Amino acid sequence: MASKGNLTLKSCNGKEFIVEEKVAVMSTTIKNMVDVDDSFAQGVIPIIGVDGKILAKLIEYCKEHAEADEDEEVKSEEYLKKFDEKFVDELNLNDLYDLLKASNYLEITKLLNLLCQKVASMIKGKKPEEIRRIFNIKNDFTPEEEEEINRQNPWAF
Amino acid sequence: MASIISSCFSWVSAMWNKLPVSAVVEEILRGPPRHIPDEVILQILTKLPAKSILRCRCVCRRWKALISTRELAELHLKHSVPMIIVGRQWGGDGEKQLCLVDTCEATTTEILYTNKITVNSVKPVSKSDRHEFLYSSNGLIIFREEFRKSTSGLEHYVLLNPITREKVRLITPKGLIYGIYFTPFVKDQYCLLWGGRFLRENGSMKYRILVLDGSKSHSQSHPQTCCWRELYDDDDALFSYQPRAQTPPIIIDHVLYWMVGNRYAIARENSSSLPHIRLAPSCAESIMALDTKTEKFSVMPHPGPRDQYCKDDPEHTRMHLVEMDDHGFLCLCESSLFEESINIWILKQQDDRNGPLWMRWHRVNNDFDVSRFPCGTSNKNVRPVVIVDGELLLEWPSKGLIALNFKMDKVIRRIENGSYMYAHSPSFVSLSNCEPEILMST
Repeated sequence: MASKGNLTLKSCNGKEFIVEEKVAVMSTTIKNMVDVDDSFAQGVIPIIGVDGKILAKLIEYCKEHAEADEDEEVKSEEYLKKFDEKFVDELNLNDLYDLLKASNYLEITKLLNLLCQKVASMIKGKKPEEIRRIFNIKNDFTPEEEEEINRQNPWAF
Repeated sequence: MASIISSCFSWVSAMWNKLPVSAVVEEILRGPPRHIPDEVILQILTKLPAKSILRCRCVCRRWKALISTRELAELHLKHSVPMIIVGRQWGGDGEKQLCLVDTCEATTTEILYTNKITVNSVKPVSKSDRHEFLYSSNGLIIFREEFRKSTSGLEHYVLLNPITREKVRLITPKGLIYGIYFTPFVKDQYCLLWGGRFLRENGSMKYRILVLDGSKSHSQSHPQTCCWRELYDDDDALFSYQPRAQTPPIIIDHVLYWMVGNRYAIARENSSSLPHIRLAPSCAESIMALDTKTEKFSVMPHPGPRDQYCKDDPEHTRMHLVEMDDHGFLCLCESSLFEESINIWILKQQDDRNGPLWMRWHRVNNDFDVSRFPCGTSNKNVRPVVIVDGELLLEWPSKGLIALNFKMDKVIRRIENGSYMYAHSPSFVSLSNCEPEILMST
């Protein structure tokens, strides 16, 4: 059981994390749970669909940002920017997808925004088949359809 | 306890599995799940330039469907990184050409055209018909039809809207369209602000607003009548300021800002044959704003010292409003009269009680290296176009578009030359496809 001001988060594979409330409530989803029902504050909050590895990453991110929100002097904007850059650079593709899904589900807006920006920079300037490979998407167009789209594609002003 | 909680949230896990419906099928087909919810894909797409988005339509059916939504077009336009529209003389017969310059992808001093604008979406009616680009605002573009200007007592405009995919041919009484903006309340509605050429009896400027509803389907064959709504209709209300000519407003949130061009006052008897006189705007009233929620105009002072400085430039011609990308800030750039530098101020907040709060943000020296960019004119007529990606883009007479980098505090490249330059938020929806044409007459 977590002490006062702390929350316990439990990943889908059973790992428990004790985190400060201010860190956990970076997630709007968790914030809403805690606001609505006090019992969550004492009990264990199950984070469904998120495994321990990803949850640890989420907590790492939220911790830095929660502390920066509290005290701007210790963690400047510049510091956070560097932290964010390093954070996304170190992710492999699988983690990136899992984090995208998890931050969307847990509504961690800042992180979701950061990850979307990262994915956008990966897509930018890439050919459709390269994008398909990144996302592991199957091309469900017929060759004729693809040609048709390509034909109407040129970006005219 | 824990079991109760997890049973309460079992629906979440059920939903979680259900969310990407087609993903379930796909997963069975191809191993690792890499399915991202629609709303996340939309968010990723909004961060891409227009060209990349169009390329993404070929990825798969689901992506193509997402890209066809108006929701994405709107979101994207809101975050769109400005490009620059450059107008140039082309060919011997005085034909004009518009170019769209992508400032982000240009790396060195190289000239880059992302796209030559063939204004084929505004086909001239007759040969003598000529469309003069007026400006771009909120991603909407407005042209004025030159040839008819002098012949009738009316003005003819053509408006292209990438969000509603409309082309509107508009006939107005003599006057100018000062702004185009999306209404803050209703989706798909957008407004035009028209200002008359003549003043009212009481010395107030005539302003009217026209609301266009992009969600309604208009009949193509029948011209519609514009229902203009008068602003300051009331006899007591007086607003005698006029925006600077040929400058589109900067739109931040739901407020339109312009530099004041003229102020009018009722002339004292015998002083002049005209009932009104035109005055230079004073420092305290050098910027005007229209709040589109309340539809009220207001004026405010410019930042910085006023004394001697403004005496030498009573019209404030060296001050320009620009937008700073993605921060949604209003900036005022002032090229110094005494030194070769440009001061940039940011509007931090607009408070009814305390007035505007400006913060000095940056000062750039522009006494740079003119040898690299010959034609060393002084900075007198330099006009800032936009602040994008840590660079201030300047329209420099006879040198063209110049990029000043804040971090390096120097000019890094010359981008393009032309007779005029405006910032434009590009949509991935082609303006050439704006159909049908709607005729609105007064």
